[in-house]
Amino acid sequence: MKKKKFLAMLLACVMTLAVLTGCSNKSETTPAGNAPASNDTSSDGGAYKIALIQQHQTNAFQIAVTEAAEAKAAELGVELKILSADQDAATQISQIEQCVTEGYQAILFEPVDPDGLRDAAKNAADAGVVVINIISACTDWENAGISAVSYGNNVKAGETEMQQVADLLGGKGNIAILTGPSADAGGLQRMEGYENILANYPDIVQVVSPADCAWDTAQAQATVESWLSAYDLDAIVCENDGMAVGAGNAAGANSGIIISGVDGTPDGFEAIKDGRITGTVSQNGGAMAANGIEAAVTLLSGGTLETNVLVTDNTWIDASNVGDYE
Amino acid sequence: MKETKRTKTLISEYFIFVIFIALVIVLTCLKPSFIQPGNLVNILKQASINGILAFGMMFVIIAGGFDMSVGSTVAFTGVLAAMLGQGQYPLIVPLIVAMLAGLAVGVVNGVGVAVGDLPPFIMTLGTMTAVRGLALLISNGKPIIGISAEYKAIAASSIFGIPMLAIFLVIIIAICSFVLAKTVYGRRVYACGGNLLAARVSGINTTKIRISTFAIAGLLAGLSGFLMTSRVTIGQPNAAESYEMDAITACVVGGVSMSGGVGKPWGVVVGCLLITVIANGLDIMGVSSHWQRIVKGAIIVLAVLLDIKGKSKKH
Repeated sequence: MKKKKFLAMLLACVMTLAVLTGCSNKSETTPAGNAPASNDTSSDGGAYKIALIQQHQTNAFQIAVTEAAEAKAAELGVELKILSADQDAATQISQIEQCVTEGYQAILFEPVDPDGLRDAAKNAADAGVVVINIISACTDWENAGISAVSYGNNVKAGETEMQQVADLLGGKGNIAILTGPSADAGGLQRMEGYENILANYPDIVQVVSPADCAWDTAQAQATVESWLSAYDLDAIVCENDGMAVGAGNAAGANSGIIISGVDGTPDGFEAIKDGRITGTVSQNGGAMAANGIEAAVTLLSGGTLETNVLVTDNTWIDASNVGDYE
Repeated sequence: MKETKRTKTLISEYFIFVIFIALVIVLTCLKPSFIQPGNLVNILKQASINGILAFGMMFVIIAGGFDMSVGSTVAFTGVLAAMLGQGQYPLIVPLIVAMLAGLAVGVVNGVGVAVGDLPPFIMTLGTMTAVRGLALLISNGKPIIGISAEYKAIAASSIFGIPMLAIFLVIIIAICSFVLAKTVYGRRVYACGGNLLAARVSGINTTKIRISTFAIAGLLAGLSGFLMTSRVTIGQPNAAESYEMDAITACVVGGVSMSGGVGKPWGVVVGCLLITVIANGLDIMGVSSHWQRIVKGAIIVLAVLLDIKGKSKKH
């Protein structure tokens, strides 16, 4: 009996904790001013309510998105709520529906799946909400009621990376590729970019088939260690910085092997500075989010957009310019 | 007649070792570079973290339990160690803090299972999820960079050509083997797993023993987290996904029975090396990751099949 009472109290405490965390989150994402009515940057006397639903929040790229969105929201005086779908499509659909019900005027989201989220986007748009895709877009977004897209281009990022590697190799050499999780859309797009460039360089040879290291540093490190004992590699091309860092650890600083990544995250920059990796392609997720919020505010205040396809450029970052990006 | 029977029992007992040797021979024939000293050093480095976790897991499984949370604990303690390992404190600080944090998680698991009577699967599933959340929370979702050069050197250095990571593993193997085989405590751990009621009735404090096995698994997960951060040079909140599965695989393949009470340390060593050699060998041969998963899965099923068959034969 005593045990039951204790467990019941424990459960009550945990639930209270959950509620408190939920409440504190809400107040965190409301920038200046406690009540919406006190913000008067919009013509109808209340701050715009905008929701941002990220695919997940578990890496530096996504955190950059969160931080830039919060900064831009504070700058424009909008009330921003940020949610994470934890890489689950069903969760994201529920979150969109919930935001529509709660009266959010604009919803920005990065679709967990380009096809699976299309209907949810259309339903939200039909309900009068301004819907904008960031980072990546739903399939056939123009006809799904989505007002604008603000993204980088994973295919282009892949092309930029592989072109740099091809130039550094002088057009020939042995390479190997590390990929993200096999069904991941972003990863597949980067691979498409790689293949577009490799088609022009018959003398650049992949000596092993690409290895799926699931964006993980330790996995990449183990795989590359094993590779290096059996193969002569001139370059290792990685679909993200996390894996490039692992490859760089395995090869050692200034190994002479060209190692490249994508994303432009702090761990990648650290590795560029100490010579473990050659360079990375920055995707600037923060700019994608900020541009998306600006576009939302423009549309909500009755303006029109010059273009509704907002593309953030990607840049090659190596030892020569890493200082500018930190 | 007796001779063939004896050889048969020997082979069935040491079957996993036979498989391991066979695999090494096959890989060497297919790719001679496999047996090069450079690659053997790689194998030792790659096996170390899994090995340390497997030995911690061994205590838990032999005592009749099951721990799904060690991967998350490695990530959490790895992030902690990275935050404290930036050069502001002597290295002993992140090491101790990581191990204590791991110990804390282990004790929570142990209390939940032994006192709260929760099934180990449920309890450790809960801690696995919560601790992963903790790792993401304290790191703010990003990998912690900037660890000191000395800290990086731990995983990178070697003594007489043997990597430091492997030396840690050997020390842990020695301690754990001694404790399990030669101490009263070790015997009690086996007793709890073999028959919990009988152990309790014969005067063993099964609650304490069971809590302690989870605590050991957590402690060793903390050590692994410390070493992992040194090896990959960053504290990644997403690290060590599914490492608990690899640790359990190493144990099961090495002859530790999932029903408890059975298992020899050398078996876990072979199990751990077997998994590492499979991954390393398949990487060297350039086999796709998809095939690697299929092979790994097949080996697990076969190993448990042999374990069950071996047991039913004995009866």
